[in-house]
Amino acid sequence: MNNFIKHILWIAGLALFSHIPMHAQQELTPSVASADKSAVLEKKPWHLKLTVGYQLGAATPFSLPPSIRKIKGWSPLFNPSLGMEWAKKTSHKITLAAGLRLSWKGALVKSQVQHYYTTITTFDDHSEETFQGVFSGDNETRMHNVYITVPIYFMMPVSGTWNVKGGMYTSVLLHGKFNGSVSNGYIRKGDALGEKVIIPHADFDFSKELNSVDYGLLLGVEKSLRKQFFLYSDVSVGLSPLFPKSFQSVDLRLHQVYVEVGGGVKL
Amino acid sequence: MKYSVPIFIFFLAGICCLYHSSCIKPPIANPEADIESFIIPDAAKEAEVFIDQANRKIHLYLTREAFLHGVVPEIITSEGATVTPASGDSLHFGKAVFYTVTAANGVNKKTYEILVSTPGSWYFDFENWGLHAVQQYEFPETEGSTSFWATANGGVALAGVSKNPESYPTRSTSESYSGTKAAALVTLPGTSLSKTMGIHLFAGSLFTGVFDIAISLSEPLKASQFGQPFHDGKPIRFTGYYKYQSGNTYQDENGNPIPGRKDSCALYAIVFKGTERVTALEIDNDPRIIARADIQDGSDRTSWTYFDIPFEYTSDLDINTPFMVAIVASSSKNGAAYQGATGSRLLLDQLQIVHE
Repeated sequence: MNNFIKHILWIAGLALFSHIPMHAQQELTPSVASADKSAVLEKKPWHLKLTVGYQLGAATPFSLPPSIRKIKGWSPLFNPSLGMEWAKKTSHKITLAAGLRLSWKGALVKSQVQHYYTTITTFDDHSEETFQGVFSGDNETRMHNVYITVPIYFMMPVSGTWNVKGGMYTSVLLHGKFNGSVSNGYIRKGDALGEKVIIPHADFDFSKELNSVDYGLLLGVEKSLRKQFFLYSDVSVGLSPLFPKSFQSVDLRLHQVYVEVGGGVKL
Repeated sequence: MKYSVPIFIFFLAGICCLYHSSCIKPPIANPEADIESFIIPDAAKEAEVFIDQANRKIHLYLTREAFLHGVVPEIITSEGATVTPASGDSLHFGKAVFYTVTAANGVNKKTYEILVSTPGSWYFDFENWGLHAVQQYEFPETEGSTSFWATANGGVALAGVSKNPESYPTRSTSESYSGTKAAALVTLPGTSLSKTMGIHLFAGSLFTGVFDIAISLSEPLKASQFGQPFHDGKPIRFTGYYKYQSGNTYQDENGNPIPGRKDSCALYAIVFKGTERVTALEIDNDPRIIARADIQDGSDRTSWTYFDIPFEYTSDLDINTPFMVAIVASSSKNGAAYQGATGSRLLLDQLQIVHE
């Protein structure tokens, strides 16, 4: 994804979020009495949903390898999500929805690792160097990414005001930050039999290595409230890894696993 | 509402599991197989034991008595590993001795060779060089020991340089004063990897002593440990041949050029008391140091130049108590502070400590 396209998407996303709610409100306010909005929405062929949510999660392997000895801390960071969706009934029960979300995904994770295999490749104008080895010690990783996400899902009622939904999402990275440090440890060149080199502290920044696209499964529930408001909770599970296969500094297939909780309004 | 609680738990369970200790797998059996310490009584040694982890060699500097009668070492290995011969078994010299460590995982094994540095003559013509099997850097070999001289090449290997003797700052050269080889010390630019650690330059260095690779990144000034035991008598002069060409552009520790400044080499020897080596932090003013012989003028010498510098003693030397001598050479005088000019090149041949 080149920067130009990213910028366009970024601007387009901002423009949509800042303008559409206002227009929508202008259309609705004079024509619909608030008590009857739900009934009117039922009859519309499609409707808009605006959502505001908060995401909790991390990029994580689906199964922790034995090299991870301890999760010493996790902070969710500030991960808002602003969304706009178009929903259309395709049958008596099923609703199809698609939309755009501007979402932040990130977390600060502190862990202790042992015999963690890593390859560090660095290059400048003159040379490219590679270091392969195993690290034991503390790790602190901070990820904070901004995505434009397109969710597509089906929703159906299950009981009273409760609906379940399931679908897919695709995200394009607008701005990525993946950095941190290793400390209080040592690295061995090559493998566990290599000579030990003490690492009191070293910083890393793999922001540039992040995959620019993330896609995965979306599962969720939505509960209708009074009038046209609703609450929702989505679980998104990234199927594509956070880093390309060619990138070997992080010897884990990291996937974005997030719970989003929030509320919205149907227009 | 009857579904709400189970559904909520379902969604939270996924996240909770990721951070819950029950998801942490049991550790693998320790794959490490180091000899971490090899302890012999103080009375048996003339210098601290040096475990060369990169080459899997343990260097002992023994008194004559200990050499003849053997020692009983106490050995500390990586956690859970076993060693044969066992810690506490007596060790006798005269034939090759190896210690094999088996890691707790039962698979990984590492064999260390015991090398006893025997007193050789302090005359060095740099004709014999060894090659590190994996990293392909050279190191000078002397009659009594493969580790009489030390370089920082093992530290440079961590910076990911290509595996070729010429990629390292200290190596042999055929441009010798006599014989077929001499020592070449060249100041090289840092690599992209070393620059991420703030190292923009590698000065060529060569010294009698040991280089502790384990602390080469965490405490680089303590990693170079100078000195080897001296037995022959009171050192009186430091002599030899050298040749020096400074590099073009002097740079500071951040890699910024300093116009007009010229690089110079360092070449000196010190005598100090005791069995513990001095580090780069101590070498300028440690109270154990009692004599120094320094060429002082480290400027360019386009042809092989003879030097003969007397040791200047600041206090008396009792040759019946243990003492050490360190010869120290660098292609950039401030190389330990990562300052110098890349391309600076110091050649050394026929170095000698002349004694009474």
